[in-house]
Amino acid sequence: MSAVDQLADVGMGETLLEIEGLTKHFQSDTGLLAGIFGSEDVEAVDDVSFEIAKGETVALVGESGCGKSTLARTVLQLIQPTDGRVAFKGVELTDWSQRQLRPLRRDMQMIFQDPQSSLNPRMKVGQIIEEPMQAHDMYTKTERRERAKELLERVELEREYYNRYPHEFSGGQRQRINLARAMATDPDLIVCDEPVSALDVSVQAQVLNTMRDLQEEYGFTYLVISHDLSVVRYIADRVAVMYLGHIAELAETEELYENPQHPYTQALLDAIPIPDPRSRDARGTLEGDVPSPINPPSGCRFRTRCPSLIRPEELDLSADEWDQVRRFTRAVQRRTFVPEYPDEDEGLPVGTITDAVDADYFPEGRPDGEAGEIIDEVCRSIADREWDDAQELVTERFEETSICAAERPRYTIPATVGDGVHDVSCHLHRDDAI
Amino acid sequence: MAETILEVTDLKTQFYTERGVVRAVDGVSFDVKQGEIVGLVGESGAGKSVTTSSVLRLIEEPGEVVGGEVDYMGRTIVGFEDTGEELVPRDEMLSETQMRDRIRGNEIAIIFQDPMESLNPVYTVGGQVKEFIELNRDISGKEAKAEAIEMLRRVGIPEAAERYGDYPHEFSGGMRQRVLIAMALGCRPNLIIADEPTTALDVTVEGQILELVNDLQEEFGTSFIWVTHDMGVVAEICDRVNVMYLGQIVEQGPVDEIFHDTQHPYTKALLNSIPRPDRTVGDLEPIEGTMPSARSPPSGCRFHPRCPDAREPCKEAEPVFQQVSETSDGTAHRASCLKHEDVGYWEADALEVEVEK
Repeated sequence: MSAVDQLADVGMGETLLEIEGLTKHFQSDTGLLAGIFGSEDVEAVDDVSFEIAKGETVALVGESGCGKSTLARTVLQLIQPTDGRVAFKGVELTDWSQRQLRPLRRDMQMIFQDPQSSLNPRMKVGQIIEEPMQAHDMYTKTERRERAKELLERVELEREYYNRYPHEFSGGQRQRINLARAMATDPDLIVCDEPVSALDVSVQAQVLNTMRDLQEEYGFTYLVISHDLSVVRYIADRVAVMYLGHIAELAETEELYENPQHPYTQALLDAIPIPDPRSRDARGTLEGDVPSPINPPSGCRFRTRCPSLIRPEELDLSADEWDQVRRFTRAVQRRTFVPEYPDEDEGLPVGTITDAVDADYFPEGRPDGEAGEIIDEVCRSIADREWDDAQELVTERFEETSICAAERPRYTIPATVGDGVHDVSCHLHRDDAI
Repeated sequence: MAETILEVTDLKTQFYTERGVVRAVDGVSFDVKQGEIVGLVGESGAGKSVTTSSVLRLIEEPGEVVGGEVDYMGRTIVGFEDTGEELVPRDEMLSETQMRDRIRGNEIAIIFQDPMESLNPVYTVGGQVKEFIELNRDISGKEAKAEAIEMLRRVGIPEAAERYGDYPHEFSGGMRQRVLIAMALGCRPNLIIADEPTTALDVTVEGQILELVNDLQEEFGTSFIWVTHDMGVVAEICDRVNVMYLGQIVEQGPVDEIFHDTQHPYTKALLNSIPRPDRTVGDLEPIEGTMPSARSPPSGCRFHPRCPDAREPCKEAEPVFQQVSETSDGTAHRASCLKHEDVGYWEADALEVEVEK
């Protein structure tokens, strides 16, 4: 039996696509030497699971390098996953070869970010739209022609554009041609990789509205990849926020934007400039850069930048004290706390450092006990200009002993908006998980 | 009120192409006051970058600044006089050498969108910042290096002294953009032109940069011209805003007025077409069609073929860019729309929006 024969009929609202434990690691280095000495893995996507129902729009959002595009391509089996399974209309895609999957591809289409380079400049618009139908041996030649013209109308272009070339069109129009091509085989799923980010704002709205209308009419399921949280809020039913190859949070759109629970999502939403000068409030900026996906942080991958890192249980500190210790830890890790050393190689007396540290981070005095001893030692390292030691010490003792570093968080909590559920990968929710 | 440092009047820049003359900037007037962040906002092709390049006289063949005045603190960057037959540059217009030695870098610096293209990949980051400082200020050697490190530290490069010898590819995109800001600031310019400096960056990194600009502006009192297409960024940092459409400024005013007392239909349409991060929007109202070519702009008001408020006179009469209201502190709010003129707009029939799909 071929893969196509196993395709099940999926009704609206039923699971169309099921992704479980999907993982994609790339070799950071290839070639002879890497073959001999081995190379480190880039963990682009790591153990990700979610489902998409028919007729739904799910968005994957995240910053560059978070793995959202890799995830989408792995879902479509354009990239072989390292591990995990993907089931589309009941067919286990990972069980079949590329060749065997080909007939299935008419049900899964993709549109790309750049409307310039995704259309062959030597082909007429008509041919471009007919190509996928031809590839899947659908309809007769005359029928294909008629359908292509009809599709042009459906995406709010003119039938007469059939004989024109892509260069005659603006970016927005080209993205509509892409949409028409993706619709040609009447697919169930359309994966849209940054569909409007190359377009001007006024044109973005046109294309987004067309995508919405088409979905209503034909019941398409969209998996949208985007870095633009405003666009996502407008078109998605559910949103998955990705950070460094993991899904940090997944919830219905309204719930995610109105009630974000993961510190990363909160920081992300906080960072978007709002188009209203009256909501210019002070915002917390997320410090530092995204760590490398080679040897990513253990446990929660956001822990190295998280403003809510959880207190290690072995440290006996009040909430206020822990806040101060955490601030101090981050300052040392990023070396934003730099005393004025007298000369190139000379250190400073420990007293000078502790005074400065007390003034900046512990105005009510350094905590007692173990934490206090560690801070003293860090100060001695800073005084001797042994920054690496100081960084290592705070990281080892204040961050890596936290539950955030020990296990990967995965919790599901009840949603506040609506009656759905809300997946949040943060240990702050370990007590209210269901 | 703060002193006006840059005054641009009726600036015109054209490009001569095989397919005709492109009037990329067609009579643009705006000014910048000391310590102010002035926004230049519009969609691609509106003429934002050509405007800023013209201000710095960086327009190259086949383009040319063909008219208007640019005055920077009493110095004439662009100025013409009419000999009866043609416009010729006036004597007091700065020479190319004077522009290079006295204006670019040390008085007016520019930061571009792509930091990788603005940094030389084969020189160290620190060396490039130092060279810039040496060229534009009277310090050199050890002192310039110390200043370069200090600037890198100021813009938030961690371990600035250690990273001084790194190459551009060893920095992330956000870090590279910080280096460019450090370079610009290191020359202690009075005005920085920032051309879409955060467009290529992730939103959290953009947040860091905007925060940094706010801090630095407070500290050094530097003025900025901020070129962007992002109304969110405009709302976040600008004091005054110029909205451009097809080579012209269609609305100009304090940021709050632009968003809350919008006077030009294009600005209004632009604001209605953007999805909001902070609230759920039922339906976006896109602007129909696309911006026409600057080679053959529409007659009358250039926005009339796409304007939802267009009426008969808009096809013929070219609107005057004029003051439409004044804020309490005396800042002008200008717009070019026939609604504010006495040409029978209100009595005329509405036009159908006629655009090619």
